[in-house]
Amino acid sequence: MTPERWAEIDRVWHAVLARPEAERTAALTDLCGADRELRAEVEALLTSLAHASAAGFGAAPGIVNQHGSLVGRQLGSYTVHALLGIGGMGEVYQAHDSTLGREVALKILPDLWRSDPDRSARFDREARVLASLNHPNIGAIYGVHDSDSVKALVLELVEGETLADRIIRQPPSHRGLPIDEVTSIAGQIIDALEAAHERGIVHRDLKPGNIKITSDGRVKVLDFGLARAVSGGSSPALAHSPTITAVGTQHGMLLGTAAYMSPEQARGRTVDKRADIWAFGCVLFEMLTGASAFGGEGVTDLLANVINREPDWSALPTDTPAALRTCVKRCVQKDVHRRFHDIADVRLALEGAFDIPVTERERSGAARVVWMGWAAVLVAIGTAAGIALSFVRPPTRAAEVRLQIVTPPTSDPASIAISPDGRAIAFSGGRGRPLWIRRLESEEAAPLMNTTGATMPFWSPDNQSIGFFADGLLKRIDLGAGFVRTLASAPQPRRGTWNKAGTIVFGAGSVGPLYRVAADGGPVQEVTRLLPGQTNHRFPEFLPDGQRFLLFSLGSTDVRGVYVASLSDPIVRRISDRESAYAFLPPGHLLFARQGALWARALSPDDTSTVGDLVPVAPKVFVYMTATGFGAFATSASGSLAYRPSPGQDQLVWRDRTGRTVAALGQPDDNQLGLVHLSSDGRTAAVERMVDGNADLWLVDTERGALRRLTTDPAVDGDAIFSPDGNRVIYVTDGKADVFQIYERRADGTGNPTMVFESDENKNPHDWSPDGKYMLYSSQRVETNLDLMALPLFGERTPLEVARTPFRETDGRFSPDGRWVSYTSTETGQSEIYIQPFPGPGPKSQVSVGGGTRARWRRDGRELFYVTADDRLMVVPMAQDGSTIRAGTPQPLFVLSTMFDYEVSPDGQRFLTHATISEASPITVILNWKPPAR
Amino acid sequence: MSTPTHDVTELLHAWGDGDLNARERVVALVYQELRHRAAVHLRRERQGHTLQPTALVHEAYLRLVDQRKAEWQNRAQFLAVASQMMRRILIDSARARKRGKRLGARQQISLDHVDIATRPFEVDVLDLDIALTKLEAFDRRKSRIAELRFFGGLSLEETGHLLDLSLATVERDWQGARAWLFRTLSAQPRVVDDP
Repeated sequence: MTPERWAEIDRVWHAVLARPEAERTAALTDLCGADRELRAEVEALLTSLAHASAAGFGAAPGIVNQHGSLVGRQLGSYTVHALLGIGGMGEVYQAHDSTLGREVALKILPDLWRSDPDRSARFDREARVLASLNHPNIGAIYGVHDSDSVKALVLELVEGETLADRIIRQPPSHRGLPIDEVTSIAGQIIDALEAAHERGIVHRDLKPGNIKITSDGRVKVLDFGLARAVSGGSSPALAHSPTITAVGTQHGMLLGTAAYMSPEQARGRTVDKRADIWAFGCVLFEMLTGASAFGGEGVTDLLANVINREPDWSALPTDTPAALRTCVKRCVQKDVHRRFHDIADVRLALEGAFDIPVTERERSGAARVVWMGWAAVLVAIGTAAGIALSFVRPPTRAAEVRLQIVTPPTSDPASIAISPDGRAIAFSGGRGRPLWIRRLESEEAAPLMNTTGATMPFWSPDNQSIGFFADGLLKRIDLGAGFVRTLASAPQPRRGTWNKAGTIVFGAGSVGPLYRVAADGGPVQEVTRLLPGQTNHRFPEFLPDGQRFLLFSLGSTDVRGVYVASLSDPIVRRISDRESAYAFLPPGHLLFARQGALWARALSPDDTSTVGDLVPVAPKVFVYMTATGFGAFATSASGSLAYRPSPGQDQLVWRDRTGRTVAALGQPDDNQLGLVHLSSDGRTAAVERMVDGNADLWLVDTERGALRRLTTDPAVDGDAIFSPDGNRVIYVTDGKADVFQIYERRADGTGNPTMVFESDENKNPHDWSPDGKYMLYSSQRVETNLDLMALPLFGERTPLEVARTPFRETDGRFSPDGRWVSYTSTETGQSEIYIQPFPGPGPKSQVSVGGGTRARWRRDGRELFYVTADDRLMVVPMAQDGSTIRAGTPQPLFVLSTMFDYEVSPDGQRFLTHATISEASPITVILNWKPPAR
Repeated sequence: MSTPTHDVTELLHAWGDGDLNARERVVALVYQELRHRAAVHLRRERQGHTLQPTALVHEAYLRLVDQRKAEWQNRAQFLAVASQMMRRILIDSARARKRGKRLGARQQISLDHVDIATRPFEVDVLDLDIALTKLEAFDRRKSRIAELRFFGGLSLEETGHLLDLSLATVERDWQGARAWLFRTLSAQPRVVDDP
């Protein structure tokens, strides 16, 4: 077609289109004359436009994508008749339920749900709760339909128009509904909210589009609590902002809901029934005026208005009764404390009980919250790193604000630092990943170059640099230039602190004092002196004077605790005898973790003791299990703090030789589940878990997943191994002078633990010989690093050396016949697997090629497994011939993260290991924390 | 430190002042952003993927452009570039799938109104692309309007601002584009037409 010909067709077509329907044929004849081709083209376009309109083609901007229509399909007992509409979550169909002989609405859930069993299960649980709501003003949720192709919510089919339609239907000359109608509808919405709130169910997404009015005038509130069910509650930030998190983030829908979102919802804070009261107020306003209480160009703008602006009260019709005026104003109160707390109060207000004018004082109160700036947590679904978009303008006056930062997955969730000005959070990505910076005013976290593997970051006082540890070294990065410098060696980092004079104090090992180094580099000096009985100083933190600093000391109970020291005086003074994970929160609080929660206590004016009441700060905080004192929280000189509640969930799983998960044991666990040892019959596994801040040993039934607690003492218990018959367990406890000592107890939990072996150094048991006579363990000696030792469990119990060099020998395992020992050594510069005869003497031979750790035997001794440095599980055929053993060529099986331990089933066909079920929870930031008023 | 948000906002201003290099850089940044986002969506939602091109474009706008400094012209400029980029990404992705193992299992994208009850009309994104290209050959303006509408999610008002046309002209052109496209696409045998 030529442009000229098309222009002609287009011109004629439009001319015809402009005529009334009845005159079009005549117009066609008139305009096309003898050009029959032209006429055919124009007619085709006319038909096409009618069809396009009927099909809705291009009616809304954009492309809405979905799977094929379900109309006509049979889903279980439901016959789908018609598509009722397409909302943000998915399509809604009308269907007939042949079992109960009733019409229902089916809300189809996105396919995403079905591929995510966790989310699906959570949704089912929520739906069950919601289905228990039974009230004439609430659209009922009958249940969930789940077939292999479709998951759908089964809802009461409510005929009628929505309140949104009803408001629009009002002629422009009479915007707003008649007062009688407003009162009737409002009263019924209150009935519905009251019934739900009594059951603890919050709607979270109340809006005119969710309220239906049947032909006999009955109001039905729809979609109660669905916003929360849909978001799944896995992340609190998501759960609080209903529509934004719903899978369909269609722009229009976003706007539709944001207009009724309370300021606290818009800020991503915890939402309770008062959010529904706010939304009710907005709906009431809209019924009275015919216009939304809050508007704006786009979501950002709108949310800013929700937080900063007042509705246009002058839009209320002059004849609005005082009771309704009072009611709507008390509902749309930005400060939740000034808002009606209870829907019953709203009813009373509506009935005139609070019929007094809003005072000047209240108005200024409403205006006062405006200074808080606005901190809307907008969550973009499906963003790569799962980062919530937050927009924060720092408050001009200090008010406590809590917000959440979703972080990329990390294996180091405790490494968090908040900048002294409180405006940026640094956090670690973990093994093989960089350090991230999230500036509160920006929308995303940014990785920092050249910081791979960084842990325990800490800020410079000028907010321009960050100190961190990586590769066993203390380093600093300057944020402007991105320049990284190495300052000192720190093989086992225990964090650092940086004062205004440019001095860094840091912990470098799990034994020994603290050290100092200039932030610009230079000699490293000891800065504290261990008192008798103390083994280690760690986690230093400067006090505001930049001279004195706090630290935590390990050691016997009489010298353990939080101390204060000074750059000019190496002698430490104790200020608390019990806390381990702690932080100093300016101006004068000590923050610490106790039993899994975060607390604060005031410091005395001279900083020599804690005084006053324990004040709760957060109900849950993550404390790292295996480095005492390493808590996932950090403070800022600005008085703000950041913490992470949970490191995420793990689950024990069995994998087959191809890496496929063949069984999952028990429930996902957020207690830092750590696998330790499998009994020789393969039926029981010993695991470590940290429950309420206490690291203990638990036993897991490897078929049924049942968990049983083995130890309960307040000390850290770990590294359990089973006796050959599975009846006894050897493990370590750090109860005495903070050195891990070896104990034994019965596996059924009866009786008391008995000490097996005590020495000055930390020890880790690895395996029990098949004849029950020896225990392999590694000993942490400073001069020879890790050494592999064997302890005879008879006679004098004098340890034998198995492998003792300046390199690190560890993770010893007996061959099933007890004649060989496999272990890891770093003597070539990287970890490799070796075998040597036991008890020896005899030469060792290397089994792994190109690096290996974690050797495990098959029960018949014919295969040995290990993990390579690049996370592959390898299998090595083993052939024994008299007094020699030969290792075959290692073959890869599947990728197994070295972050997780594993054990081999007796037949060598399955592997017990961990799977990450959910990543670490978001970081919560509390800006300008204030102790609760007393 | 310079962030992409500042970059893009400043680049849009520079482009508005006639700097064509700035336009090139906006195109590159927007393309990169959208392709990344689209890839994430496609990877996440393996089956029955629910990629929403216009939602992606809007998200990209919120992310890349500093809302406090942007003017409405910047928004229109941005959306114009983004809709072109989105079209390209969708086409590339559909072609890649087509070349892939499952011959004939094309990605169906249905174009449908969100509110009215109707059987969804499904159209292959490649067919839409071909139809738009055909239309462009003899009526560039209509093709452009349709592109902005389908891939950028622009309203008719925004389209008018961007192309410097009156709303009446945009409406009229859009009707024409819509009728012609629907007719062309309906002629394809692949249109799903069974309940």
